[in-house]
Amino acid sequence: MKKLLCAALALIMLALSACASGGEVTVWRAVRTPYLTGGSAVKAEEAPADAGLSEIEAAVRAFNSPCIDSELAHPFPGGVEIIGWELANASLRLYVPAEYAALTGAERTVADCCAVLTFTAIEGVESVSIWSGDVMLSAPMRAGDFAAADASGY
Amino acid sequence: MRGPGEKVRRKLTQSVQFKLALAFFALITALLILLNTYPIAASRDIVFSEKESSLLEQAGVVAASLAGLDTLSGDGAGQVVELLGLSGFERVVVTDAAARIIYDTASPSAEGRYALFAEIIRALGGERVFFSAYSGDAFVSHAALPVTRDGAVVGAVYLCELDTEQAEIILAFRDRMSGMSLIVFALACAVTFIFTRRFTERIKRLGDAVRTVREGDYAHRITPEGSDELTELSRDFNSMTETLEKTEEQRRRFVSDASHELKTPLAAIRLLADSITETEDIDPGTVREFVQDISSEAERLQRTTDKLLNLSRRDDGARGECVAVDVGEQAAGTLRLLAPLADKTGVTLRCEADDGCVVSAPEEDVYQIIFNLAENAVKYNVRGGDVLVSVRREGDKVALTVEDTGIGIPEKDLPNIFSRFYRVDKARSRERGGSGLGLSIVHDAVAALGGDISVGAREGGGTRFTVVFPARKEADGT
Repeated sequence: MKKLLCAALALIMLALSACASGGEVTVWRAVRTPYLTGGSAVKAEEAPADAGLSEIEAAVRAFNSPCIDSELAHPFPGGVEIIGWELANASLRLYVPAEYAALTGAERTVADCCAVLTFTAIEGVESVSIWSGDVMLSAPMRAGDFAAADASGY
Repeated sequence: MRGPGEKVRRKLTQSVQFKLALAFFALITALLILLNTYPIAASRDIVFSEKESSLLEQAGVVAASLAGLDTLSGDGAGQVVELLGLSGFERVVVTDAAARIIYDTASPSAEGRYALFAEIIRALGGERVFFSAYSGDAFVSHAALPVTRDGAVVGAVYLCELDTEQAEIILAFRDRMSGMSLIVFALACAVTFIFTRRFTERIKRLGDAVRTVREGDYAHRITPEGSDELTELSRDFNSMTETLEKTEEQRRRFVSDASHELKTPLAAIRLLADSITETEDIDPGTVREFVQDISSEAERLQRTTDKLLNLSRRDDGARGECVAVDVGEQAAGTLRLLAPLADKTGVTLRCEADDGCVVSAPEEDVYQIIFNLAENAVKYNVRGGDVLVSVRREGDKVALTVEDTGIGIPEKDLPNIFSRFYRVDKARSRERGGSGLGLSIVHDAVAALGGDISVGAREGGGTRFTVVFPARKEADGT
């Protein structure tokens, strides 16, 4: 009887520790220029996810956190991060500071792409748009709007 | 435990042949690897370089043409690509400044999507980009250039080329090289085996010969082959064994001669002593006569052992202290010692010496040289004969000549007279108290002093010995 109780207690402890660990979230980042030697300009990395948060919230926290891989860089400009989100009809709105609008050209495309690929991987999210307050900075985009790398010739 | 002369059994990996073959094998392998990789790598680099200039040039033409358009549109880009005849490329992509595809030869449906190709992103940053890779069956090259208008980047052009022809040429070259390398490798291995076997067999023969000689077969010789260092070693080995054989032969003869020389007087002494002890009523006169004979034989024994000891000391390299010796004075003194013997045999002694015939030598050595030569000249002379000892100064040399009017030495015996225990006439020599060692002592003493000795017949009969010494230099103290 005593042995059974001990085994049950161990199992409970194991289950609790598994719940507390939270797991990981796949986050897309920009590849730093020195490492842009063919392939794609964006790359995914696994970031730790906080336990107890919703998938989107966990992804937002992971996205805002610094990069783990030294070859990768955060796609948003310095000091800019996702400050809020809103999900409606499988369309996710990400709220960022107005400084995001300063990003133009390819850098903007890379930043949009990283956000879209990160959040459309979450079940229930099909498109992502980026807003600053009431101003839409990037129209809703889907993962299919981006061609990550040229597969021809390989 | 291994006995002397026993052959050592080695593992294959410890043999010289294995080590040599291994070294050659490693060298050949390294060379073949180099031959099979370097030319292919060099050819690949040449192709890369050629592709870079070619693709960037063509991308530059496209970019320049697109920059000339009023607006960067899909139709405009298509016309430019068609006009420039870029159909040979695997893919041509034109994007706007935000990396949105406005023209794509490979996938028209991709138009409107964003191209996040590393090359395009860098080109939109203002860089000229080229990457190429050799996949084994094709060269895949990518080039991207910014399209600039009024100094601002308005888009990018991306070219992708797949070249299988150049890859096939390199592959064919590589296959041919591999085939040739296999043949060369097989031939080189065979040659290495034959060469190392031949080489080590010669070493083995030399080793066998050394063991044979070590076991006492001094007559063993090797037949030298070729003209390399091993041939030289074989010749040196033969020369060494010849010397060993000669030395061994001399040693045996010396031991035999020495035993004989010591045995003869001992046998006489024993016989005489036995005669005295075993004969009853022997008269005192006979006893005195026998005892005198015993004394005479003992004296001979002593002379022989003294000379043997003298030679032995010289063989060991023992030498007395060098002092200034006037050879003329030494000769005169020695002749005075020999005067009783000369009177007894009816021989006249004469000495002629120049002044200043001084040499630097141990006094005992000079005495031995003069005494032995002069004593022989008296002993082997004829009654009424002459012995002339002359000492002359000849430049930086001192020449000592001892000549007699005796029976002379036959021509055939001249080369051997300095050998130990060699006698021209054994019976006569013994009869006159000769040991056969005097001239050996003279020869060794002269050699130790750095001099020369020669012997020849004297005009009018007899023998002439000439000894040439280096004269003592002023700096030596004379």
